[in-house]
Amino acid sequence: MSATETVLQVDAAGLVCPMPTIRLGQAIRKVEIGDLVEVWTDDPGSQANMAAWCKNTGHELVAQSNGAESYRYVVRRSR
Amino acid sequence: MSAEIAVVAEPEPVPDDAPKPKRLALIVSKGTLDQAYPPLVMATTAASMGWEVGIFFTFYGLDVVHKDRMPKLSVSPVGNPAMPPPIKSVPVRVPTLVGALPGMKWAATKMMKGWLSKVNLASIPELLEITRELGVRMFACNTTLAVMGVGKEDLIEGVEFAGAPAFLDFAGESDVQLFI
Repeated sequence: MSATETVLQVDAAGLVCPMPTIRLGQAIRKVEIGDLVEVWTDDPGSQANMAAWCKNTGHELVAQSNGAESYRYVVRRSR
Repeated sequence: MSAEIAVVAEPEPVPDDAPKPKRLALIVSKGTLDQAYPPLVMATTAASMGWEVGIFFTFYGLDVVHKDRMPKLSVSPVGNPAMPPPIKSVPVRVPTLVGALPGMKWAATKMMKGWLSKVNLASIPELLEITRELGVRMFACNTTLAVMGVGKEDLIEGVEFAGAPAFLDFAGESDVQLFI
């Protein structure tokens, strides 16, 4: 598997802060450096939270897309 | 005065490229359900962001790490002017005297647990489990254990026992400090 493919998906739908970032943190530790984690959530607060989490942890927010009531984030484990 | 000075443990060598993690120091002094959530949410979030986190539990805050009391933390309708009317369609708040009646604390707690489960927020035991998993340090105040008649064996696993100097030693190197 290429190192740039999403290797772990996190379904955080229905969970509120702080659980989507907690679940992301748990997932990041399970993948190798360079691998991607994809998080799905319907928490509107996640837009600011995911960016802040990535800024603090040093992991890279490589993609983000918003649906009507759902949000998708792709984060690369950087260290 | 003795010329000899006790050598405190050498700090861990830190690689040059590793930034020093931020540190959060919390004091938890309350043992109600609504006062237990904010520190545990902050602690788990900070730890998940790679911060070092330490929580000092003191006075009624010890209940948050008390094996038997922690799953049963409650909310009091007395002395809480923010408590909303119990029936949405009837805009009448519970008078303080009525709030003091038997069963009202149970009702207020049930109401809050209903709100919590509606948004699917993790329970207190679940948040404590996450703090353990993420390496949050939990300090139980030695002095207030004695004051509150709580035994060390009454507390959940992983709690360290410390006094004010030991916690201040941790908090003195911290970036964020909150008293709750």
